[in-house]
Amino acid sequence: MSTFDCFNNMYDVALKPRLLRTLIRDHVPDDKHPFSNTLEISRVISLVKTHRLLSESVNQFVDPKLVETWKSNVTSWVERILALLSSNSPDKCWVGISLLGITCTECSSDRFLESYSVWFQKLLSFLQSTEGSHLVRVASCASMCDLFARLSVFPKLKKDGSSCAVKVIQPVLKMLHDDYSELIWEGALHLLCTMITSFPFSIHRHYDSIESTIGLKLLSGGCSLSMLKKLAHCLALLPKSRGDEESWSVLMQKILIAINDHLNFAFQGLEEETMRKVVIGLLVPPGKQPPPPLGGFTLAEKVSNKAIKRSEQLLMSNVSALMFGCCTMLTDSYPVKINVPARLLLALVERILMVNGSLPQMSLPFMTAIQQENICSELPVLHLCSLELLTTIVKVMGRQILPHAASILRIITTYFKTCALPELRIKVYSAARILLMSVGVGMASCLAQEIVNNACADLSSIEKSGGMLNGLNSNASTGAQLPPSHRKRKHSSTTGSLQEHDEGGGLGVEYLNNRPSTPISLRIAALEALEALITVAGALRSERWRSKVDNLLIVVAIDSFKEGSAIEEISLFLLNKPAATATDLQLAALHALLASFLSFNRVRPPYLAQGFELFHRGKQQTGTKLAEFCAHALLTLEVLIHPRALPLVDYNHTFGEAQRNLQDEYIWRNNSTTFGLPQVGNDTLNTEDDLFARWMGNDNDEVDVSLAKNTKYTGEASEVATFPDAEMTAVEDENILNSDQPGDSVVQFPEPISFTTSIPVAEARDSLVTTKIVSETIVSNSTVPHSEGNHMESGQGISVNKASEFASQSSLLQTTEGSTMVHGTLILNHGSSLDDDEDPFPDIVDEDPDDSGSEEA
Amino acid sequence: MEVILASSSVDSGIGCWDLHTGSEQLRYKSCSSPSHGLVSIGSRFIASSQIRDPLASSGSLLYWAWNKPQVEVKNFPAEPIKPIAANQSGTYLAAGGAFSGDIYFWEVDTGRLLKKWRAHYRPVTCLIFNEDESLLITGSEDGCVRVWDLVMIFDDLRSQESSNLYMHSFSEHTLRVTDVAIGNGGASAIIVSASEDWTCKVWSLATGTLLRNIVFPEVVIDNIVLDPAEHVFYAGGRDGKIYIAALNTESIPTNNHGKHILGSFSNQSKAVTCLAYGTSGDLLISGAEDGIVRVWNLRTRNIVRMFKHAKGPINNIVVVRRESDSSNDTSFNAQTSSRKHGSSLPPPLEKYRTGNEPTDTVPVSLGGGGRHEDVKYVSHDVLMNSLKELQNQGSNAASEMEMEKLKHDSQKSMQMVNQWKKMYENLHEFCVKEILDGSK
Repeated sequence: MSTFDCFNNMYDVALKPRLLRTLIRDHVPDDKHPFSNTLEISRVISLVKTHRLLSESVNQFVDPKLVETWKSNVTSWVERILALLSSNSPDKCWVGISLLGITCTECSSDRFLESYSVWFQKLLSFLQSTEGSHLVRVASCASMCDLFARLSVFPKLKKDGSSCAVKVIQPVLKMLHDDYSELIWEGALHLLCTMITSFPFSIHRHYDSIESTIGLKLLSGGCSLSMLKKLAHCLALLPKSRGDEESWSVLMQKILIAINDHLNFAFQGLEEETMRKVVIGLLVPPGKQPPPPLGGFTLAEKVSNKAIKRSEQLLMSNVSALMFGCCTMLTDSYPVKINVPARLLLALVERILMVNGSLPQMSLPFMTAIQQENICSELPVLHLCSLELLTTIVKVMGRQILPHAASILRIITTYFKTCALPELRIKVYSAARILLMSVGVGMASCLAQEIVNNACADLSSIEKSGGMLNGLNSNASTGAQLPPSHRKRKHSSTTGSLQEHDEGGGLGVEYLNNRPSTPISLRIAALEALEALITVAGALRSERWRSKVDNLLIVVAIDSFKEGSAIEEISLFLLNKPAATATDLQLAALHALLASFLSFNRVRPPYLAQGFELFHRGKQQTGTKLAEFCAHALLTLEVLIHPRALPLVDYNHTFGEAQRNLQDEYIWRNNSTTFGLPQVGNDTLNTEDDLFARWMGNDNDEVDVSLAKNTKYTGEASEVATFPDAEMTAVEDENILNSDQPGDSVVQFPEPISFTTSIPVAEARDSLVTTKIVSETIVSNSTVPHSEGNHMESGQGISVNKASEFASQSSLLQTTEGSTMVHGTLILNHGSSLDDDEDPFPDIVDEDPDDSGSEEA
Repeated sequence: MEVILASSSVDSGIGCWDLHTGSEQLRYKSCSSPSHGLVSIGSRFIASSQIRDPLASSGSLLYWAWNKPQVEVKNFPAEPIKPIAANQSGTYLAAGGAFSGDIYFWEVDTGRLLKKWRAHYRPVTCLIFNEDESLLITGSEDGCVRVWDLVMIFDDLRSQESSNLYMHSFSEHTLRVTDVAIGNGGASAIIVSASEDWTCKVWSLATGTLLRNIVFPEVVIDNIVLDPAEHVFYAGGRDGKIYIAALNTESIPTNNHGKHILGSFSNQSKAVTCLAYGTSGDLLISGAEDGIVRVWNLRTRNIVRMFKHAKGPINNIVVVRRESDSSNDTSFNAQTSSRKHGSSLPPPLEKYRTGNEPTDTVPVSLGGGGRHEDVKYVSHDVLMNSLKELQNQGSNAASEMEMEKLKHDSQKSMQMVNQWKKMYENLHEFCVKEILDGSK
């Protein structure tokens, strides 16, 4: 190659062979070059990867000579690597193995197919040899792994791959058995997992030995927690190699038996016998043989010898690893349908969650304080794992959870009452949230009270510092008490444990009040649970808790904007994983707030004004997630403040035409929702775009006159005008009711409330409603008493001002209007039905609120 | 592929047509279904209740596989079954008894009868799941529409405590309820019911109140279908007209139909017996007493297709979206495994409940069956980690600490050695002295 044989640019193919040659010549160590600089290797690798130097991918227009050069250069690269592999010095060997792994992933398919068997043999010899430094062995595992991963891409080579994989299994198991470095174990496990998923047939013959090896490792202790999790993961993958229902169930049963054995040992004297018996009865159904223990019989003996020495800590780490394995088995995909032992899993979870370290009266003499101390120190981890398992069960079962929903519900509600550690509470919240989301409406009514009470308790610490609504504080704390009907049953089951808690160090109920501040992550979890509740059932029989939650949410949201985030930022610096920050809390609060605004369907959301302010403020923090979400929220709320559900189908035209008009309408609306309306002359107005007419008709009499020909719109305009008014009065009522609470002075509404406009409208409607009653006796008979009841509760403000008869009518209107948009149109229809229907644009010049209001005045 | 299934009360099998090409598919044999008695269970197979012998004490419920015209599985529930409903994924089958007002609730995959409860005084005529499948809405011959919270139904403790199992009970209809439909919107959804009392009623799920009463002009509405956006709903009348009734839209009374009724369209004199909505495209499918299935374009209100099903009246139409190939593909393994047992369909449904305990296991397909995962390579990461470790050699915090500890240890040992030495020397001195003294 001549010195001035330059290429075009950095994308030119000619660069690649040249660069590769330079790398081989100058940077890759060989026999003569000593290997000294590790930075050089990483540079080589990054160049190979960025420029795809080994890919040999060229299009047809490239000079064949160039292709040839590249090919020969790659060949020499491979040769150099193989030379390194056979070197005596371990560091060069290591470099060679690592580069071979990279080559496996980077080289062209042709080259890979051509030479993978050679590479495989080379790597295999390293895996088989018992000597060699740690790094060499780890690297050979990783490279072998990638070789198999690449091999699995070619379906034609499944058979060859399997026969290769079979050879690897023995050395890998030996590694797991003999070596004492977690790094090597990790590599070996990863290799095993790759083979299980990619070449399942190779596993078949060794299935049992793999299972017992991993089981042994898992249960004999001496591994770090992350290692245990990896072992459990690998174990959980194992049945995939067979892919049938049977092996999944057997392994699950084995794992559960192992967990149960551990628990039996650990919980001696801490639990009632009944629970244990239930679990055992489900574990091995009567009349059936239990499967051989996990890890084989040898392990069982080995462990039982050790049993005396077994520390509680080891026990717990084993249990948590095994439970993690359970979760993995449940969440990982599996080729066939399997029978999830839901009842057993739930019983196990319940068994663990019931144990809180307290001693039943009977067994006092059998346990020393030290034993109790040991167990109690490990219990939180155990509870965390079982809550995780519970969450996994809910996720996995999806809609099929119905038959077990009740027992899950009971577990969650019972546990909520005793649970005090923030980490645990977070998990319970998330379990509750997922349960709500997956079951849906049906679950909400059962779980609502529990979530609201707990969330109020957890979030109320903010109020104390913020002091936004003092009234709310007392609300929340009294609200945390259960209503008597609920309380009876649950209380009886938990009183014992609560008392124990209090004796043993003032945990339990007091805890919530004494604690200075709730951790941010817990507050976020509470908010998320509330959000889920509102999303699923914000409108469904929510009267009991709704206003409390709305108050709480707006207070939390406003507070979240006040709170400084300095402390969290400092802690961020040291932690690897970013902990929850104040920004996250803000986001969660706004999420929940938006959900609460949107799920109103009876009255206008009371704190909309404050909400808007918050969203606007959030939107200004450009580039953050918060800003993104606030923009989304503002967009969503726009629909709420400009309800646009009214005229959709104009039945005077053909149906298809109406639908086309409908589309036009939507376009027009989207253009005109900014309040700076383009001044379009009335003559150019499309006859269909009623929104313009409605807005104009509302505050401009002149347009009204000009639209009088087109009277259809004035009728609608009046309709629209009455909506906010009726809703306003409803809001006003709340205002009056709440005003004795000092915090409420903050709550202000941007628009003045006018009674003058609402009176004539309601009167006009009076007649409408009577016609309605005539025509639909059933409806009004059923609705009026109901709404009157409502009125007695909420509508005191108006009834003072007006005749009682009229008040009941108006309250009827209020409630029905609030309930859905459907109803709004219902009333409109009555109005229009009074007119004759010959005219394509029926003449409805009635009850314009402005006009009649001024007449009255 | 979207297919239409149609069945009739007289035995003429189940007709099956491709909605878009119009080609007729297999005709599944021997089916005479009652109204609301035909469903496709999770698009996996077809199920239909049967009314062969109206006086028989035990009824039958049949399964057909998609690829075979013959009945594949015969179930014999404790009493004849009329309406049936399956949830979206086809895991549960709910059915109403033809004699009692009982509702049967089966788990399809195992055939277990999970629950059976008394829902109405008179037989149930129609039942549907709501959007999230946690509620069941039923209509009955006694004119009652009830909403059941399935969580409550399955919660033995709570259902014993509470006075009634249902969540709402709407009894404003004066005659037999013919059809119910529920819209979207989770807890704020609306329920529409049709009855022989010439009315359709719109209910609010959230509040349990009547929102709207729509009186039809002296005509019984047998079936209703909601427009997916819930602007209107379509109601098939016994006078052969399909009425359009307003839900969430302005209605202008320029016709003689009555309040909220926007209009009607018809091309048939015989009664409309069933309606369905074609999910792709704006299509309405109607079945009539004359045995003809008509497909309407809702924009133009023209008939775009007609299928002749039978001489007798059609009483069920179901639109099923079938993933044409995936039915063989995704569940390939499942089928091969169950093929050993001879059939790809689940076992027959239980006649009676076997125990009061909740079932121990639940058949679940994990992770949505076989999912293709991307190949992940590790050697690069492992190499980088090792490199990092090599670079840190010497400055490694752990080894530094180890070094300190060793230094400390060696110092200690040195001290010990010195101490021993000293002791030895002392001893030596002592001994020498002793010997010397002794020799003296």
